[in-house]
Amino acid sequence: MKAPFLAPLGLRGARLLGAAAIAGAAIGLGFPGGTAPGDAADRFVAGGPATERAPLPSERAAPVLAAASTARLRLGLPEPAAARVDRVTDRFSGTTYDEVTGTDKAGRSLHLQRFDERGRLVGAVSFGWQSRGGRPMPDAESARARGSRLAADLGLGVSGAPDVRQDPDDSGWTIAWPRVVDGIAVLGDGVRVDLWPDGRVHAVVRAERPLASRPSSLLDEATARQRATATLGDLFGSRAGQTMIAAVALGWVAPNDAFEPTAPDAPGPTLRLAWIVEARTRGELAEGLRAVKIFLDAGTGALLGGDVLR
Amino acid sequence: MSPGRRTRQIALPLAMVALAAVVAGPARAAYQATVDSNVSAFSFDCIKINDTYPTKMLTSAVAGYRNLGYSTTGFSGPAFTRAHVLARTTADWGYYVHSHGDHYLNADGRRYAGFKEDAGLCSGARTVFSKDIAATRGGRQSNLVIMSTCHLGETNTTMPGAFSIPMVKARGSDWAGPNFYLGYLGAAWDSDEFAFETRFWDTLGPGFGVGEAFDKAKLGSFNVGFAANWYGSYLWTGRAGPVPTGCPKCL
Repeated sequence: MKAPFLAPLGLRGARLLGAAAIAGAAIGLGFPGGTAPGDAADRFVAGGPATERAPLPSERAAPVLAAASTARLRLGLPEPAAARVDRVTDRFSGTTYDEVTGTDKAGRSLHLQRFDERGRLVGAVSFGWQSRGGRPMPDAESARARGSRLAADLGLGVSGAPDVRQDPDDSGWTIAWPRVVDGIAVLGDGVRVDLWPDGRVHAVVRAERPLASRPSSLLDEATARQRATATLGDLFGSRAGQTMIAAVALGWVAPNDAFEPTAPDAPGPTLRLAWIVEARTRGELAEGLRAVKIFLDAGTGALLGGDVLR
Repeated sequence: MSPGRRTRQIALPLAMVALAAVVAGPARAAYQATVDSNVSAFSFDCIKINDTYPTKMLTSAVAGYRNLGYSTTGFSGPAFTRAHVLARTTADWGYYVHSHGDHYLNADGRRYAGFKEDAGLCSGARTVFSKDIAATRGGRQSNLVIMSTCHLGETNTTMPGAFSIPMVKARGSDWAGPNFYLGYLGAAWDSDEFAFETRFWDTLGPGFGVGEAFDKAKLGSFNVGFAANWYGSYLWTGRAGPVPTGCPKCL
């Protein structure tokens, strides 16, 4: 059977693939004129590389290595035989960070740490899946306490009680502080600490993307719900009756191309305030789709993107 | 005519050539991979929009498997059927699917991990059960299997066994063979799966095998509650084909 890769995608899918192919060729073949200057040449395209990395010159690497050494001790990571520092341009997240990778004598990666442009620790991971170790922490409360102490030691700026979850196959604990700004959730942002069962650090993530200006006036919830109902009608047509709004809430979201194939493949790097409307499905529609989220600009009601739960 | 405009005019044909190369994959037919993505249930033919995630994830997975040396072909729409999955699986060393997944009730009265075919259907799609895959494969070895669906990374999943991937997390000096199974826990939103898989594919390469790629893929922004899981060998390149047992230089 031949691969019917293009045919089933339809006109919009074909347009998406065409745009992706152009940008992909521009990146892959090094054509600066493949797209408008400063535009898609630097843009992430699905199937292409998400990151670019380049070694930092030694004079610029030195302060990063010093910060990594300090953080490494607080994280309890072993001293590496060697370390390299790369400046990483992350096209997918729209960020740039310095990444320090520690290796053993054989050159195998032991751990890495990431520092943002302000020199803050934004990521760390200990490789090797070291879930076996000392005496396991007895319960979620112990994991919460350990994670909170660690976050404080690392200056991760957390507050409030975190969510705690035990990882599958007794492989540790995840302690998370979702980001909230002025009482409004920032989807996907926050601090997360992953611990091995005995409390050693597996990983640390700090996501704090920039926020756009808050709209001068906001749609009220009732209006947002009306707009959402209309948008669901536009999206689902005759099957809109098989969707049911389950939640409406303000939140900061990354605009995305979920329902707009000509938009960039990666989510927008600057978050926008939106009404997040989650609709559950029923009937035949639920056979392949559990739920959908739509993001409506909190000021204008324009569709900023959304998400899909299959 | 400006140089930029001239370049843009020749970019499209070149891009299509490049895309065709990606779709076709290199000539390593001995190590086949199949990438299936369910686009129809949430496409313009069934509703009034095209959800973009299935196409992006199909493109990413085809490129990812190809970079690992698999002879990779992507399928969606009417070509991604239950019969197609079972026909190809005997020759698959790698398998990826993005679809609706769950622990479905089989006609034998038991629940098995499974996922929905596409078949170009808006509704009424059949389920591909792990039981069927297991019976068809008959214990044949596989390499890299990714279930980009809800639920199939859970600890009670029956899908790894269908591909003869042991439900162990072999790490350090342990070795479970050249295989790796990736799946998600609970209900996983497409944006999270896409972000995770983008980083996973981006990491794989010199010095970073499937385990390290899994760890690095988690370093990002995800919805609260998102979780991925894996089984197989942590220290393995992900590359196609058999590797001698206990390979000391698997990276």
